[in-house]
Amino acid sequence: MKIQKEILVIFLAVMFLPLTPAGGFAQTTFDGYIWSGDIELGGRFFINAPSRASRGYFEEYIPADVGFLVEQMHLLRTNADGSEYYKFFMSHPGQRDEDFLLQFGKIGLYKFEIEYDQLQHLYSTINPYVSVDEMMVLWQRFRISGDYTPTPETDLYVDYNMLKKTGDMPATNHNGGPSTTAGSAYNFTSFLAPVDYSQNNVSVGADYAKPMYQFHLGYDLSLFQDENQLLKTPAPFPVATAFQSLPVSNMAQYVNASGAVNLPPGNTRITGSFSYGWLTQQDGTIFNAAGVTVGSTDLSATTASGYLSAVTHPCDPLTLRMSYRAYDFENNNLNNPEVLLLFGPPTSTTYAFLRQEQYSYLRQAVTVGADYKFNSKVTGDLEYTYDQTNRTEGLGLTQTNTPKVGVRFYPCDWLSLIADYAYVNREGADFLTVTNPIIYKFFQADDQRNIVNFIAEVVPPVNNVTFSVNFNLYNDQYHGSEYGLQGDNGWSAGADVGWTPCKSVMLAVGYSHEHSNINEFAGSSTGGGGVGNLVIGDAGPVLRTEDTFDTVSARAEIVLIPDKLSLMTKLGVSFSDSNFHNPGTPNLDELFLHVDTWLKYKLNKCTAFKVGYIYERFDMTNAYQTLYLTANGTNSGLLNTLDGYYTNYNAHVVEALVQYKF
Amino acid sequence: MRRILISGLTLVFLILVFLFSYSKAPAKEVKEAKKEYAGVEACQMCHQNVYDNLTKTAMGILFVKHPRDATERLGCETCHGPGNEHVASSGSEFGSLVRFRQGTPVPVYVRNEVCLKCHEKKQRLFWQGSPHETNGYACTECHTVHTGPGMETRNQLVRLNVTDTCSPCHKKQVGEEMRFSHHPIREGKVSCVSCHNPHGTTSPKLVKGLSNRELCFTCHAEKRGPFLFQHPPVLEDCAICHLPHGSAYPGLLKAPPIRLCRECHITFHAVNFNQAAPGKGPRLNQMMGGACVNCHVSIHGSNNSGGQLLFH
Repeated sequence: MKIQKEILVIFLAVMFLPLTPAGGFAQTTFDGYIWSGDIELGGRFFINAPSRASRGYFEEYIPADVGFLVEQMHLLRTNADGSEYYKFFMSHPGQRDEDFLLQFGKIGLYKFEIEYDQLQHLYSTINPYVSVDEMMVLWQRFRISGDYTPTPETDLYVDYNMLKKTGDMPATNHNGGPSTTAGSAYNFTSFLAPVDYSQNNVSVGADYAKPMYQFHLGYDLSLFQDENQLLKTPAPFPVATAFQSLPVSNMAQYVNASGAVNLPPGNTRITGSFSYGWLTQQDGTIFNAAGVTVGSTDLSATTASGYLSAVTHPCDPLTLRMSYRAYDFENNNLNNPEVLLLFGPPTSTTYAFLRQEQYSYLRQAVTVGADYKFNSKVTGDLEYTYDQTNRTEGLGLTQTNTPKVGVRFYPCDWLSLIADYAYVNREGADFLTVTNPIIYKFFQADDQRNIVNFIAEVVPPVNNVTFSVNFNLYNDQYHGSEYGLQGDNGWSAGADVGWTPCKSVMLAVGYSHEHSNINEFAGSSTGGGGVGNLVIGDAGPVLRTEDTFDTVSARAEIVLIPDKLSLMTKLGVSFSDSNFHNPGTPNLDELFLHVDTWLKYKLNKCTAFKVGYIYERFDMTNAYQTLYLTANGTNSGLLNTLDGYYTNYNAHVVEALVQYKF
Repeated sequence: MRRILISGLTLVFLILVFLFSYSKAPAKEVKEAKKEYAGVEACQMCHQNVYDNLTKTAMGILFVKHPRDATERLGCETCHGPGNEHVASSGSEFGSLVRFRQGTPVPVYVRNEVCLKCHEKKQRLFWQGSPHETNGYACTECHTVHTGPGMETRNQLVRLNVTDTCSPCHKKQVGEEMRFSHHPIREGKVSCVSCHNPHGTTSPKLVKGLSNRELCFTCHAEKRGPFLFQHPPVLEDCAICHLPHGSAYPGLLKAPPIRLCRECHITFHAVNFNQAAPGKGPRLNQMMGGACVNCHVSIHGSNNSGGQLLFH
């Protein structure tokens, strides 16, 4: 890439900046306060930049603008003894990931934080259909929080968090049914959905604590506002039924109370918590598929959740634990008169849908466990958990029993071995039978799962080496799945080595491999693709999806010249492969590689110079290109999905920064 | 159902109130044991560097310069316990001193008790019985008391930031964040504690909030509803479909979209994988992008009267 003249000037200016301050100072006193801080600024340029079209994934969350850059700045002002402070921090000002934070307080009495930061979610930099190059939603966050501690036992807090999301996100719209011809398609249209969301979260509360008991009271309010309620898919995608109802404005409120008590008998601690919440929809208008107002409603739900836990140590080697948690979701919408008006009597088909979606449920879990320390080297754990989810409207009961056993073994000072095994038995009952393809049934199947975890950590007393290995295994056996689920299994194994041969060299490398298989019967229909001839969970050929993941991480920190020159490099590589074992569905492979190397030279106690080289590579197999990017087979070009436009890239970036402490 | 839950929890509350009234203060008051304490000046004589570092931290400033009560006034001995025996032996005997370094013979629960004396509230209310406590982790494995790596860090972590602190043990999650679809963890815009409270919660997996739903809606309230037509997994648990730490598939999905939906829905008009059967074949536009969600676009819920299939 040809380096632009302006960038070169900025870069050279930054290079020579360290020469201007002759020494500096680590901190100074002014107006009775102690001031200190540091700043890192410089420039960034590409040796090899991804093309504009290929930068979508490279800049998914963080922009990579070329030119002048303030990496970060800290400023601290304290009184003479440090008990009163003002701290200011900023990073990347002027960029789309900028962050500003102001903290001030008096230690032990109060503290306040005010923060503003941004984040981009870039979906794509390619868009052949709409005249917007970047499909992106910008997240802006503004937060104010305060804590006041009038006495050591009492804390009062308030927290306000405003989240604003603006931009466009890719969406699709259903615009036609399937043909019964083999290989034919449902039709859908791509479009950009406007995003203009505001979310205001407020929390206030108080804590009171004594050594023997603690108490908490709190109130949380979350108000979500969407400026758009309805969207007609804009040109160039005019289709007849392209009206889309957008996310609804809503509000959630929770009051919660928690408490704990420490009881001397058996060194026992009992904790409890209760929370009650109200969820309400704030949009009054209901549209139909043609975009016409057909009514209004006032949907709501409530939640109640509770938690009770006890931990006791009846004798020195033994710890007993018990906990109970419940979460009750109460849906109020089936009896909503407006809903009944819209959807007719309970005998109507639409009302049947409502019942299956507007249901209530109660989820409860009980856990009992014991830890026993046999001696200084061996500890054993036993645990049993029972949980269940009970749904109304005849939507079934799911129960899970999970016995678990574990052991921690420390045969010597430098070796620890930790292993556990759990058996999870999940059963469902009283679910709707599948009588119609569009009737929901959201219980996968009865499942028997075995899980094994093992980790060994070795810190041999020689050569400053640490070593660890880990292994995990799970196996699911499904029974009675109406969707053809048969089973899945997977395992992962990894190893990490760290070596610090001398004070100035630290090296670490890790590798892990993860493998999973999922098997289910391939559904098929007996006639030419028609829905009327559907066979549920047929005994067709087994569809196997096999995923493998390999991850490598490495880190090196080397002091090349003591107190002058140091090197720090980090490497991360992730490779994944999804194999569908089907010639009609190509494998999905992806490689992500990131190397970050920094050379730091300290000119004096206040000034340092940093040069960084960043290499990033992203490779996807052409499966994604086939499935996402191109018009393929019998489909027309309009069938592309806009959020699929992440393409391969190679990026070589150089950053030069001056760090100045003042 | 609701009545039972509320009644039960009210009973729990009353029991707690009853227990409060019976709980008593520790038997040994500070003033009674004062003669066993050596004082900050005695510590300084041998540990000047530690003292200098400590007095730059919030806790050091509070204990040494602005103590609020008799316990804080003990300075170093607020945490380490009475040091007279240690001083009298010129440092060779440790007596009842609590030491926090790794490898110390002082049991983890004794070390943690010292921290919990002041910090067993707010975020730490549910520490006991939490996974980290149960697995024998000491507070000092994640936090450092005498000094922090720099003023840019909060909460006096042993390592540079939250993600570096959690990653040595949670390698699987670190690997997942390297995948194609991920939260901006590796970009540094969110961290593990954005979603988890490592000190204990009322929810499984140390998740902040009452459940996964409430946690996810903290930032994704557009999916909260209530909607006219709900998608049941959204009502119950986002993790039924999503892997929060990272996924090889778009939208943090647990499995390729076409396969994920099939776990709870019969195949209907979707892809026929059976290549051999007559009249079958994949429909690519139902496999690419969001697969089923290409048409069932309001997958998190629809407020349209025609939205029963989540089309609108």
